[in-house]
Amino acid sequence: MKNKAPIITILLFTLSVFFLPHLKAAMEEKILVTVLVASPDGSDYDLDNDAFRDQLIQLFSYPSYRQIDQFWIPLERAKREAVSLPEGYDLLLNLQEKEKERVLVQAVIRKNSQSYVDTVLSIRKPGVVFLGGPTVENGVLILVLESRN
Amino acid sequence: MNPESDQEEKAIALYRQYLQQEVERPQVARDKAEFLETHFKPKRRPVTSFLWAPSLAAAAIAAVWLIVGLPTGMHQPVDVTLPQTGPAYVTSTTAEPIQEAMMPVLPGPSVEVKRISSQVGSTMVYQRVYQEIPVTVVWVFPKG
Repeated sequence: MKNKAPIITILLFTLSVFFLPHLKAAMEEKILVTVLVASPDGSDYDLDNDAFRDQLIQLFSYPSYRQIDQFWIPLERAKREAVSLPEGYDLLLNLQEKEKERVLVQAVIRKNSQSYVDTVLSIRKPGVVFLGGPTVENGVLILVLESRN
Repeated sequence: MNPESDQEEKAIALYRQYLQQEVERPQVARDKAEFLETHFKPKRRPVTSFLWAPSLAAAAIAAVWLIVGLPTGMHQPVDVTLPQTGPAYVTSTTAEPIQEAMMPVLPGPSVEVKRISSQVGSTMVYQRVYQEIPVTVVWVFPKG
């Protein structure tokens, strides 16, 4: 019998190369965060996504909405990610659990070491959560958190 | 037939018989088997030399990759709740989800609020169905 060591080694290494990234991906999650400012003044809808407009009209009573930013936040299990928001606010996200169709995420809006809201959300994909209420100049901050398939 | 040759043949046969008896003695047979076992035993290639060593090496590479490549917090405890500084308002007001007429039957809540608190005021949670997807709103009312 010939020595099969190189074949076995290459096979295992190849499996590792292909399998581990998938394992890593299976433990990661991405949350799309859209940062909005709702204002009682004006009547403008400055949004990239028109679908938000109808949702916002249904959900809130502000006459003006302005999109400040939008970004994906990659989350890894039990690793807290922090992003800066307007006027000194921070958003902290922490992926606590991930299943095939549902994620458990801790979301915190913080400013000056005070947590404005600290919540743990179980989101079934696709799911949308609006986090809002912190005051900013001429309005309030609204964060749209989306977990997509 | 030559009598000398015949005698020689007999002597050889007698000698062979003697040798045969000697060789077949149990002690000699044991010594022979032991000798062959000691000096002519076929060498067995150790299993680890051609199969397990590279496999273990690959497994070690995979393990290192796993440790380095995967999130560092993989083995950390899941709950990394922020430390609470100062007295917190945990006067959450959780509202019942608003039921709309003709609301579609859904397999379960899209979003469940497992926990909510605030250090600056009261909070409220409500849901509305938008295009057959329940949309959850978490709202905080900062005091002052």
